[in-house]
Amino acid sequence: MKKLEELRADLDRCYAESTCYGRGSLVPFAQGLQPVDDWICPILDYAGFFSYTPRSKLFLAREVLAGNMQIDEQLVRIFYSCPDCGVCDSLCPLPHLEISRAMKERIAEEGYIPEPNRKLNDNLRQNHNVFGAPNENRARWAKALQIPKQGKVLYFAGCYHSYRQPETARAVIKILRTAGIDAAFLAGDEWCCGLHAGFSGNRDLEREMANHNMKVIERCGAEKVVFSCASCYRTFRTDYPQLSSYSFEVMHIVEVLSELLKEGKIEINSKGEQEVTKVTYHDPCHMGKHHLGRGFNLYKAPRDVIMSIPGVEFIEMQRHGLWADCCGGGSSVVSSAYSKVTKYLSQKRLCQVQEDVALLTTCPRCVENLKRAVKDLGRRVIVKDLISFVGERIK
Amino acid sequence: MGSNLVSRLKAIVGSEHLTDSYVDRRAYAYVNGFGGDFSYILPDVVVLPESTEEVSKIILLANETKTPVVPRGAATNMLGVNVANRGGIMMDMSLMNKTIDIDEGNMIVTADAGCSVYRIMHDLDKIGLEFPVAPLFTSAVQIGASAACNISGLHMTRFGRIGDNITGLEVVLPTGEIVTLGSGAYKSGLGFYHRYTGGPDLIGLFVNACGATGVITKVAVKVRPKPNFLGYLAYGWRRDQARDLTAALDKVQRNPVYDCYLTNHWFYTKRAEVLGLPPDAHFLACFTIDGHNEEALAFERDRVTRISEEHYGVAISGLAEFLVAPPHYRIWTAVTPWIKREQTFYFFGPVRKFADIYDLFEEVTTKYGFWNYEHRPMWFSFHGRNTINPFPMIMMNNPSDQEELDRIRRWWDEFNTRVVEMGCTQYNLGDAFPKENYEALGPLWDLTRKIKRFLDPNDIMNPSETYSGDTA
Repeated sequence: MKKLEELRADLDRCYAESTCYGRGSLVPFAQGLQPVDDWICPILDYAGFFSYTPRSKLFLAREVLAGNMQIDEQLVRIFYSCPDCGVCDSLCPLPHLEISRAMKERIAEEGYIPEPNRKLNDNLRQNHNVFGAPNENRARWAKALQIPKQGKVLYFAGCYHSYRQPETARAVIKILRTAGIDAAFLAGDEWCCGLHAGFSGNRDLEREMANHNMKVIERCGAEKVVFSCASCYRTFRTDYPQLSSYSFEVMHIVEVLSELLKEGKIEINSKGEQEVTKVTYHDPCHMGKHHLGRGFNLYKAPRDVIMSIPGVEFIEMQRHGLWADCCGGGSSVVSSAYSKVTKYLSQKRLCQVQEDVALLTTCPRCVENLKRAVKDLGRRVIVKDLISFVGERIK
Repeated sequence: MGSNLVSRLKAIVGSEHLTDSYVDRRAYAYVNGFGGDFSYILPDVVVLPESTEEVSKIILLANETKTPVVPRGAATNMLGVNVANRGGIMMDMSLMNKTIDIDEGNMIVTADAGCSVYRIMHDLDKIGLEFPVAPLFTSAVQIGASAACNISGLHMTRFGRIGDNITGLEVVLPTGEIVTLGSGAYKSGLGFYHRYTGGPDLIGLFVNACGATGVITKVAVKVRPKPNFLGYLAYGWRRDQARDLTAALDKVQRNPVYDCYLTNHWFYTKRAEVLGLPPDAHFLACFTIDGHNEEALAFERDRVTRISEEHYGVAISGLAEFLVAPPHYRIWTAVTPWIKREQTFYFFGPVRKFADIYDLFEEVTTKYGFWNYEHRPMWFSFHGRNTINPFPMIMMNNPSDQEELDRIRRWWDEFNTRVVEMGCTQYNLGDAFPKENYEALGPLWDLTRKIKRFLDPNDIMNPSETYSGDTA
């Protein structure tokens, strides 16, 4: 996690190849990735102006670093309205995500952080969750489940699944228990992973969250930590190792589930709460693009799980994997400060799904944004977390 | 620029498609090359038209108020031709990207100016057709700007630059009129099947003009079926064998191979071992060959092999397949992981002068202290039937080092002027180039400027010293 000053050499390296914001693909095609008809950088699609392109952002960051440009409202908008989906970072050898975060850190240090993002960070600092709710309420979903606080396998529920989508958290425990795994849960000792802090320019706060979480996880004796939130998974996988070393293994529940299915330890029923015959899957940026090159991208495991669900037909979306359009949430940085961007991008993504198809995903932010898009557009699409969808169908 | 003009522009394109913020304008001042990279000449306003009619209205307004207009695509041109030298309106063509019409019968693709060339290539690929030029750069590159700058690329040996394949254009003249050029001008609906309409070839007025004579809003390009039988050969030559290489290139291209691509070893130094490059190979030539069947392909392979070996080329197995075979075209992506910022310019020269041009490259590059690994004086060239299109590059050690920048600038100016003195031609026109390079054209340059003045009496279209300097 470098400061802007430490990224000078990277900023100087841009030679304007401009793979980072094009439409369609041949260069990515060349790298052995699947071709796509008409991809465009999401924030460029929304805003239209070249100044929003990843290439331009490198240049603007270089100008700020050189002292040639003052931070103003438009510069803040350019950096904070980008959902940091990570396609540019995947296509270009330059570390776009790192530069974006370093630039936002500079903007925040100079006091220009958008007010909604500052408030979310205040929530983190004061209540240790993004919603500003009392942190002990984090365990409400688990009240009747008698989950231990110590154990070799720990479930890290994250803010969204603890407060807003508890059905997914409960589904995780159900899946693990069905397979004979008695997972622990930290309850009120679990803090937000710090993703929003890191992506809104307050990396000290992210570090504070990370240090706490790593300390309590080590203390509970966990050898493996399981996540249901794509963002928490991403933060532990890619950010935490840069902050401190840890000895536990990090897995998303969809990886665990995929293994359990292969081992025959879980059986999925065809009947859930709603009758569904066709499903598709939305790849969250935090499960894929953010890990490209690091080998943590999870494109196969969710598909393996879906293929194991009896009675449903899987329809792959034209844009999937690397090319899956972002839902626009942008680590809650965008959805809180530039909600119109999120609305535009989530609706665009939703329109790529056929009616009467269940849209499954593994990120609570994506679930929330896409559900809102369903409501706004009045489309007949069920949006669900894959894990909760499976949880309903466990015998 | 007055607020009245801004509000009239907003009325044309809508407020969401106009910006006059400093940060946005600064971003549009940036071009990765001399003439733009270090320039702080900002447009006054940036607009994103969505239709030819909007472009026309903008130009009419600009004419009325004598406001400069610079049309711009993805800004990957490195010669500084898309900079708002005199402020005014920067017209970003990106939103004019709605239509790609493939006429399979006539094998013509017609697309809005803002359409991605790679998107067009991808659409063609799905039905077994191929775009004439495989550009070096990326999916951001737009068809209108590609025509305006007349891009070159792989397959140029057989098919020429994009301009050689254009059969029609829709343009907005500097006076705001919308004109269709080529057979598409007729109302018959038969489309852009032929470039010529009986009179002079007016398409050429807009190709390679970088927007100085009008705004290209639609482009029609000849395409072709993908070849069934392609083969690849690569040979290496030592530095002291430049004349042997020249002779080989000349002979191979007389009966033009599908494509010829040449680099020096600096380009792939970091991958030399992986690519199996002979340690003393300074020049690397990749030939793409074709044939209508296996037998014809074998005949062509024998011909190129014989010529290369007669001229002491050393065969390099697998290199050409890796670098120039579709769909990968790794010539550039093979080096991007470690490339640094570089400065380049591009020009054209006769194949037969290759050795002399390269000697000059080494001489000037050595003079300015860049003939070393640190600055990796890379050279690659696309090849026309009898021409080479070199891209000599100096890798920058530190783009913020003013001394190094000044030195590169002097290298750039001297090499640029001297290749033109030799008889080579420039790729584009622009203020970044030495004035002598235009004046060397004599009466042709006078004619060019007369035409510019005729078409654009108020000098609003991409104005620059190049066209309207003191003697205009």
